Amino acid sequence: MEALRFGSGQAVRRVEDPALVQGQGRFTDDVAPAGQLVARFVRSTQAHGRLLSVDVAAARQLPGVVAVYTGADLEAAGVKPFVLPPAFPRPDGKPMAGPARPVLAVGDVRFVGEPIALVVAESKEAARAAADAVTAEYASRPAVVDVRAAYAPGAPLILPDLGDNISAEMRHGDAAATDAAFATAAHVVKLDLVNQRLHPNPMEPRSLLAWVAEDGRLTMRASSQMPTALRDGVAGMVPGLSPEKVRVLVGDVGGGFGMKTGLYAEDVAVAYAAVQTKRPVKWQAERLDDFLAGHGRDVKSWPNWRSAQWQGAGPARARWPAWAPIRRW
Amino acid sequence: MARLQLTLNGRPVKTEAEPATLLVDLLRGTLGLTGTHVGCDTAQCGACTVLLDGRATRSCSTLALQAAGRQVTTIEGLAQGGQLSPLQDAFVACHGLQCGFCTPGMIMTASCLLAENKAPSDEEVAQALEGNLCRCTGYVNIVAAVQKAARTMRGEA
Repeated sequence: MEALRFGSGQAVRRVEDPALVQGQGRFTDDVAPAGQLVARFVRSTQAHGRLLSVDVAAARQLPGVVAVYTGADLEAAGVKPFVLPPAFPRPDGKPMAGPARPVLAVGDVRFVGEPIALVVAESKEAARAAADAVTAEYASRPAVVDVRAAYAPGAPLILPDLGDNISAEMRHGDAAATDAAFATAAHVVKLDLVNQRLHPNPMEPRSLLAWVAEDGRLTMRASSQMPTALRDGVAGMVPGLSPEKVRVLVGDVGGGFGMKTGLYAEDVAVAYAAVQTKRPVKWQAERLDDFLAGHGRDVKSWPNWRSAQWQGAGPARARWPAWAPIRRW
Repeated sequence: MARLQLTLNGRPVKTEAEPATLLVDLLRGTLGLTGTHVGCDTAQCGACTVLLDGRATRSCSTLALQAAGRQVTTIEGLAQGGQLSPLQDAFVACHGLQCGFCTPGMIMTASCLLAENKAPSDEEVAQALEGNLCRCTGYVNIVAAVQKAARTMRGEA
């Protein structure tokens, strides 16, 4: 059978396959320029608390260590924090809540795995030894890890000044008419719908190689689904950069499934390290880095349907509250 | 640094490694063969699979020095004179890969299976590949690819 345009109706071999089945792919970690430094993150061991101190003095002294950065270092250097774009309002009409989040934690930590320091060293072994030598002190606070529990009164507050844990709320339809309909309903059906927490877990963990190229641009080779967000984010947050001064290359990507969209704190920190050290810096996440700090998702809904007697019952009405954790922390 | 001699993809190689160097890091770093991949930290995913004296082995959990005097075969060693091996060709023909990250490990494990069992059932293929995880394909086309390669290697179409 002749293949129609675009190969419809016929098996068509992919052009990228011969290289991939021969191990000739170009995944980000497959490229290792001369002089490459290895980046490794130190992460919060606390789900919620105050980061009292991060001690990197011992780590800095270890052989092969080129630099160790803390949140305070990045702040002092002018690395900007993440700012939440106010896309939706809160229940009281005020803008979506989410204060600035520093690239490396300063003050508060809000999840196990939140980066608190970055080691840059000559080898994987030196980076690991230095990361192990970083110590931190925390004042733990109670944590809330279920979205429904986070909504309940009295839940530990992520942002104490806010008074609750609601980032934003959207409502649609006519609440009064719906409530009235439920009051006279012959039947009400309730459901708990749980789209459970999942982790995208692509086979290739996150990875980034950043270096200042000969043309002066901060260039990044990334395993990314969204290179423009990476370019614009890094350009906006690392001092001295602008979008024209940043270039992102994406080679082979070992799966993403949403985890490699957007911009991560690690991306900004590694880019900063490349600018500072003037050497290529490679960050290859391990599986644990992705489980702890690579994005996942879940949604819980509690729909109620109202129905009435068959004759002259009026329109079916439904009430469908749903909660989803906002991907801020 | 300790000196190390091994046979790699049929050729003798002299290199060196620290005692703690993993075989996967020797292959990917010192020897520049980046087709073998690292997908986990717990020896569960199989992306690092190579053949060590013909046996499918997790190179992430093998020390480089353990390969001394032995035969190591990586994904780069399968194609002959630019011609894809039956397994490699079958993976392409059956759409047995999408991102390609798990694929070298899958093919190495499958090659070990087919060397031992020329006519496996689908269940035997699936069982042999239990230690190789894939997040893209859902595995169906991978099993089909292995079976297609097996038929080719048996001389049946």
